Amino acid sequence: MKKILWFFVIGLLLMFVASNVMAKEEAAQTPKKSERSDLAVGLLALAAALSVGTTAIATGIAQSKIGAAGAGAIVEKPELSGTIIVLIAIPETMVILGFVVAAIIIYAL
Amino acid sequence: MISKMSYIEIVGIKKHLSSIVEKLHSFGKMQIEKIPITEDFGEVFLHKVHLQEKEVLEEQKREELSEVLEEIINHIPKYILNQLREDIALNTEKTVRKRQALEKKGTEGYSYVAMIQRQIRSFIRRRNNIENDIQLLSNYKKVVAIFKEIVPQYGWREKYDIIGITIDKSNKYVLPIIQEEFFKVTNNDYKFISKNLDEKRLIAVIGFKKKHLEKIKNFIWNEKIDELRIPGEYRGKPLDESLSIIEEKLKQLPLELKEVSKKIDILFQEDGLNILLLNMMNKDCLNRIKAYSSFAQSQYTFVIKGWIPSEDIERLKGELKDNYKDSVVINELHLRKGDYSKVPILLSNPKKRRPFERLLAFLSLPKYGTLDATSLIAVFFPMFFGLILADIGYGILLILISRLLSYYAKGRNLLKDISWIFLISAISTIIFGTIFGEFFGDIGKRFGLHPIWLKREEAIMPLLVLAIVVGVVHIMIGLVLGTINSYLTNRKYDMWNTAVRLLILIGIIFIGSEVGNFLPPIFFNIGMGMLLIFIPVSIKLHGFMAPLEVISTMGNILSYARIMAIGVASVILAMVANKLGSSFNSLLLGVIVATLFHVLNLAVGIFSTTIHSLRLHYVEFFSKFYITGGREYKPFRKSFL
Repeated sequence: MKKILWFFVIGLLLMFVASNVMAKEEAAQTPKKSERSDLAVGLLALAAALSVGTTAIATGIAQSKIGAAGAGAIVEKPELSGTIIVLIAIPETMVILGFVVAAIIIYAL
Repeated sequence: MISKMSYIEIVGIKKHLSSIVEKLHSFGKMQIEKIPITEDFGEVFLHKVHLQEKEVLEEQKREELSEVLEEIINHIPKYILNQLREDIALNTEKTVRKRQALEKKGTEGYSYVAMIQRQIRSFIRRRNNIENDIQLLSNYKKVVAIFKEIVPQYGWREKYDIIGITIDKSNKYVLPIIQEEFFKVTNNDYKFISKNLDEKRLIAVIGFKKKHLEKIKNFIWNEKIDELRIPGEYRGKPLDESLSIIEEKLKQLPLELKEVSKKIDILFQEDGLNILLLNMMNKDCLNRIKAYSSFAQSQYTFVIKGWIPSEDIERLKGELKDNYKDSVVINELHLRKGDYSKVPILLSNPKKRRPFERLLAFLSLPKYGTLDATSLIAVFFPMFFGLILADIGYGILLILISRLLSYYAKGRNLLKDISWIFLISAISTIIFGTIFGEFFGDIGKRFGLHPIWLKREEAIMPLLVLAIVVGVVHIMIGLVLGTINSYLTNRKYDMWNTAVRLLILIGIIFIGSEVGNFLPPIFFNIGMGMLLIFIPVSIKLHGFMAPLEVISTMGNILSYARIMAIGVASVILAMVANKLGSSFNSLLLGVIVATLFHVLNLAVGIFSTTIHSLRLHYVEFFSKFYITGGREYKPFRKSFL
């Protein structure tokens, strides 16, 4: 079993190397920004919007739950306020990464 | 930095015990540890130290005094209490004078406290009575008004006695049952009217012949029905007259309440400081008495054990030697690495870095023998703060806020520390604001201020790369420190695991940098080589979950993208404020709108920047090296040293 897992890991690494090389070749063939059709531009914009929108909804859902539980905790132990505020900020990573992906879609692709 | 601590044992002749305890209390550096003695009888060598009868009595007396003092302190109005605490924290001349006077008085303090307790109790009783009267009369006013509205129509007052009862609207189904009971008691010789008293309650007015009064009272009492009676003093009077007397009283009572509150204020302005000081002195005495239970004794000697900062041992030795010659000795006990979890943590950072210890207060203390993160957060927190907010104008406003906080802080250390953190962060904000050429968003650019390096609102991708690079550096520092911490705590396995994770990360960075054309092609191969070597090593060390840890570290690095995201949001909001302001025809209106928007942006900016900078430290950075589990250092010391 262990041998198979090792084989799997090494195989993955080799695939990673190969995919990087292939990606480089592919990048050279990708059309430039100015050559894109309106449909392609529209789809990219939609992808960027979805990237921010869906992650924002996910962050909202997570924050609402943490916020509600946090408010309860603060009533019991007001000294936890600082910690709870930081905890509420944790799911914001999702929307920030969504924003980053959107920025990459818009500016880098 | 975590102070080096020593575990010491003080052994001396028993007759010196009380003076040694007094000495240690004044010295104020030793954290006393309880000496465990499982048997306190039989042929054991060490016994517990028992208090003498006199000391037991003193302890009881001081416990009682403490309760009385706490009761009095609870009645001190908050604004006076804050002022008094400020005086104590600043150790003002007035505080020193009063403390010295109280120390001279000694046990006379008891009668003084009793006198203050009597006075304050009488004031509080009076105040409560007035407040109750106001509440009752307000209710009576409603009842009388309702009686006045209902009663004259039936001409009851001549023939009947009247009572009012209140019932929750949710229980209004009981009204017919009550009526039925009145029917039985009075042989149907009664009048019953119900009406809304307020949003939640109904009032029922019942008129009946005076001869039925006792039976009706019994019924109401037995069924626990809330009765609302017109007070005796108003009962014989016409309702109009009762109402005007109640209204008159309701005007009078708030004035009386104000008068009593003023007297309470005067009492505490004169004696509040004495009370607080006495409370502190009393607690000191109690702590000293209670400390005896932690000591041990043999037939002729006593033993005290505890922790002390290593730098203070010589001074303590010198003081004890001067006073007791060789009849008291201090032994430094050997500390093994396994005992580190018991060592109390005293952080001793330079004065300018000390306020940043507050930012670590949300976490547990670091374990003894590991690294303290104060210096790191003192460097990186202002840096991230400045990098995100980056605006000269906002930086200047932050300096003003910081100075204002410092001015109002006076004796409050927390505010002082926050003002210092803000000041350093403000300077960083100005520096990065200059680099990015921002002064209240794009106002600076309109007057010829140009960015030295990046134009944040446009250079999204370079800014993202910058944020990621900051993340890479920060996380790598974290991993290096993690390796060192594991070495310091003798966890060799964790040390190698962290070091390998760091090498894998470096390999990935080489590959990523080459793909992004930041490094020459050779680094791609070096990176791949490193991955091929260290990923199997990592799996060997940590199992097949090891690659997941690397992925989570990559996630941590990506999380630094928030520096770019929040920063760009802040600059764009500032630009929106300017644009909104300039869209008005009136200059004044434009300036007002823009100012309001900037204030809002600054408030949001300070809040979110602080939270996210802290989060980057707590979640991303500290998880790589910070080992918690330290005990708080609580030295045996007097309140005033």
